[in-house]
Amino acid sequence: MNNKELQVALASKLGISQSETEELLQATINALIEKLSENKSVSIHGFGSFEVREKNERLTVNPLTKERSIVPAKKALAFKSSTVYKEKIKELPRYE
Amino acid sequence: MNNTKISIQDLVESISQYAGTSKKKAEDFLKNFQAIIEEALINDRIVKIKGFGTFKLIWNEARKSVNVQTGEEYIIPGHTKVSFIPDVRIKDSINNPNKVSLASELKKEHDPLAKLNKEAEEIKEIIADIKSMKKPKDEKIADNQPKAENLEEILPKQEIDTPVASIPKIETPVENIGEESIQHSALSEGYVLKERDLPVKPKRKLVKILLPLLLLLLLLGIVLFYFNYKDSLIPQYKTKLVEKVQLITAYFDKTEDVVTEEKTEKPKIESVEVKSKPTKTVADTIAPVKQEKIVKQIEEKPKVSVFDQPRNYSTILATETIEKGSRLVLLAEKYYGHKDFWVYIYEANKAILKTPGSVFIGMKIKIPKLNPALIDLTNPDCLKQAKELEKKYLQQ
Repeated sequence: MNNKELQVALASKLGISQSETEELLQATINALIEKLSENKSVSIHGFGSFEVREKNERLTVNPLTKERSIVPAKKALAFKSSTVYKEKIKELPRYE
Repeated sequence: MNNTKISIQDLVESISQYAGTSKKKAEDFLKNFQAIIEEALINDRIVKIKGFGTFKLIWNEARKSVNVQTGEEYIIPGHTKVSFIPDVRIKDSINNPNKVSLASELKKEHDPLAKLNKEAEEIKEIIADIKSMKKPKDEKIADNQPKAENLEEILPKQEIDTPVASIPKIETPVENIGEESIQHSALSEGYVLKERDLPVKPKRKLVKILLPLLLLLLLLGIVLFYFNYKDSLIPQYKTKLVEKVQLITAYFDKTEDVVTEEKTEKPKIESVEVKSKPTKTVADTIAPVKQEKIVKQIEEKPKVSVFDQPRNYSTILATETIEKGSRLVLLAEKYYGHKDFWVYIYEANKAILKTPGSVFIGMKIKIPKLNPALIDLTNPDCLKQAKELEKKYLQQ
């Protein structure tokens, strides 16, 4: 499901216009990012939680030139699914 | 890392602020949002959310593991799990939260308004600079324009009177002016287009604030453009003026009796240069110079037809042996100053080159001496001609 389909599904479920849905969706994303960038983890009950994890700096080697370089420390957004949702998903058959 | 958890309530509040709606609506939306994602993920196995990230279901293969306490080996069965890949844009906003406001940062991607705002600030600065120099320039413009316009009005009449060499010269500046005015209108159209491209979506509040700002910006843009345009135009007008005045005086010298008529008709020109006319001695000294001008104009005529003449490659400037990496194009750049003139090298070496591409190492390529008018870089016709030839040869 891509962004467009998500919007359509949301609009039809909520009974509001698509432009309104888009606005709300954007607001949700903005709110999420705002909270996350304040180093707060956001947990959505029954689905999972989003949190910002700090990644240490690390050494990399360019396989062609054998050159070593340091990747600086950074932050990354991570998602951890809740146990409830994990169990739901677990039994799904393998999909090719 | 102080990782404080926040509840859905906090999130809902913040969403309602961003969207400018009630909390109830925001909460409703969030719940449905979650439900739909969960559902769609199970059905489609992938959910993409623009500006946030992608949820995906991936299959984890069964693997062996060891119970740490008992040392017993056991098998973890294969299972599906959720993976989340954050959007690239998020990386920036999370890594430098202080630099930019996140909301605006995300919006920037969709929103030309933000860009325009930036431009507006730059333009304001520039205009402040210009204002300091404004006054003297205004006077200049006021001086130059009426003269130029007057001359424009006069010139068509002249064309009718003088059937000789001066006609082509007069025509070209007139064309140029037309082109400039077209450019002008095209640019101002560009501004209008930008305005049209603006999305209707972003928050209404924002639009309310930005609309007057945008109008201001447009105005500023036009003013700025006006000044730039004038700046670039003034010297051209000057040169054109000089050319025209010279032409007119040259014409006067030829046909003395018409001069008297024109004097009465056009007082403007006289004020520019024709003061010398009544005293014949001065006019005589000017005459040879003007005649030279006319001769030059006549010379220009055959220049155009240079392209149609059969090109003569009898005089050889140099002979180049093709080495690794050398091409006709590079030779052309070396000897003629532009790579497009390689066609002439090819023409001179048609005896050994079947096609333009059949250049091999060890070949001796003759570099012909060309008519300088043929490879005049300042003449766009030369490049045009070379391009046409190139097209012709490459099609073979």
